[in-house]
Amino acid sequence: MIVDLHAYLGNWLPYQLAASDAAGLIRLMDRNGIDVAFVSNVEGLFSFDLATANERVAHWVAEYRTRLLPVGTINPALRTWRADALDGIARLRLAGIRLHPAYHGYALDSDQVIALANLLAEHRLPLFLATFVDEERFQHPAMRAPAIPIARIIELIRRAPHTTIVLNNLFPEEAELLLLESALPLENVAMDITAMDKPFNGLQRILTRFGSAHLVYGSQMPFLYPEAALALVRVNGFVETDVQAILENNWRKYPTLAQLIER
Amino acid sequence: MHDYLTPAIDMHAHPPYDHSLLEPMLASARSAGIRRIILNALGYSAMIEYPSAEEVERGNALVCDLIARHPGFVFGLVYVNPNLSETLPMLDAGLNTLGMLGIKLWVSCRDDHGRLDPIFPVLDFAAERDVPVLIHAFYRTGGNLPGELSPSDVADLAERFPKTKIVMAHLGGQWVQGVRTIKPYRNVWSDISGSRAYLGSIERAVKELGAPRVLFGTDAFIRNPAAMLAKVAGAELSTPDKRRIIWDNSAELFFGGK
Repeated sequence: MIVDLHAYLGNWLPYQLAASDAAGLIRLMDRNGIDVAFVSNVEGLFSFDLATANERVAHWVAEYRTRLLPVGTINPALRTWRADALDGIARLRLAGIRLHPAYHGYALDSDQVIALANLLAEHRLPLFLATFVDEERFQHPAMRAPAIPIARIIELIRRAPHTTIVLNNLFPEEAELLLLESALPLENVAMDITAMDKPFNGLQRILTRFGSAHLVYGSQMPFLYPEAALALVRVNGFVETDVQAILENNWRKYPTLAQLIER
Repeated sequence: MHDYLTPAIDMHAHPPYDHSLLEPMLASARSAGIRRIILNALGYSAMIEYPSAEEVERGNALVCDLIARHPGFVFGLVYVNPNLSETLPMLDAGLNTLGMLGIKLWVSCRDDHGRLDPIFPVLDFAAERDVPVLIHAFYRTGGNLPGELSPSDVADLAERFPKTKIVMAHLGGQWVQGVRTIKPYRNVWSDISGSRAYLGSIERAVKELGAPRVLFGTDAFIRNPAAMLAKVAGAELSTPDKRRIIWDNSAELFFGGK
């Protein structure tokens, strides 16, 4: 069972995404054998009204609820973050929260972020962290978002050890830094492979040095062809156990993810 | 991967600066189904924006060495820094080397005053020799590098040098605008190498340029060949159009149709 831990719906202002509705996402999933995807509303990156953004993503996926799991977007720098999060969890049955600190402009190790992470742990929900969405060099001039320093991610992991954290779009060298960091509690941390196609041997280096334990499949569809991350895993001569682990098995090791996917 | 994805020609790849990775990178290309790879070395020791003659020559020599070691698999483009006085002799010597099929320009295209004059003789030379010129070009948010061309520059050059065959690299960076910019110029192709695997980018390139003007490249070592080839796999195009992109167009442009 292939689970995509990195997907979006909604309108992206700089250009029309090739598949921006739920039916389009399902079509991409079907042609690639992807069973389930965790989906957030990309419009939340540029919105102050995240309650509505979350309401919309829950509505979009309602028809496909066994395959598209709605992920909310929360800005912990806004005074209303807790109310939005609690409402999304209770009423919209969100399957987690995705953070975009690069777009919302707050520090990842702020007290509010840690409080949100703890809240999610209490509710047995994952925290998704998008380290970036579009490449800095091609961002719209009015929508610039700088890269997140890896030190901030490390600090978040240290301060929220009981929260299941899914890192979206980590580069291989960033993943290596996390895996090398001493005494970092990584038991509940998953890293998707979306951005691990750079350089050519980035994913291979991680597998050789650290194994596949923390790696999961994520495509960032519909921004990217989901085929790319699949081919990265399948067509590079990796041992079959690693391929299976990344694509089909590792998500099962995270009870928070497994109970959402299997319920 | 689908059967139709092999054989493939990767017309835009670079030898890694960590030379212990040369053979692993070529193996990675082979495992993805690439059967011809056209390398260009952007200098020998690092990616230097305005490299010295020595850097350029050593990089080109490295490509020639790989061509000799992998006959029929590795081919090359002669890389030059057009601001160097040695450029035309370097091109002449380079293109007389077996397996060197064209010219590569990167981000040393402008002189100290920001003018494009240094590359004019290169484009004339390419037309005379009837070899393609692969030009890195980006629409880059926040401004381009000092010597870096944009798709708009490529369009201007295509108009000024109508007999020169130009390949714009990377769909021009910001691909929506990049491919539209060069659309009117029949002497310009675009490769799909590098950047991320943007959903819809290949279909958009084909819609704007037509499949015969779109070439498959990876930008390896920077990117993984299999992930780059998967862009074509995922594109909603006919299989003949995909084969054109993966093989036929580069076979025609660089290998005389063979």
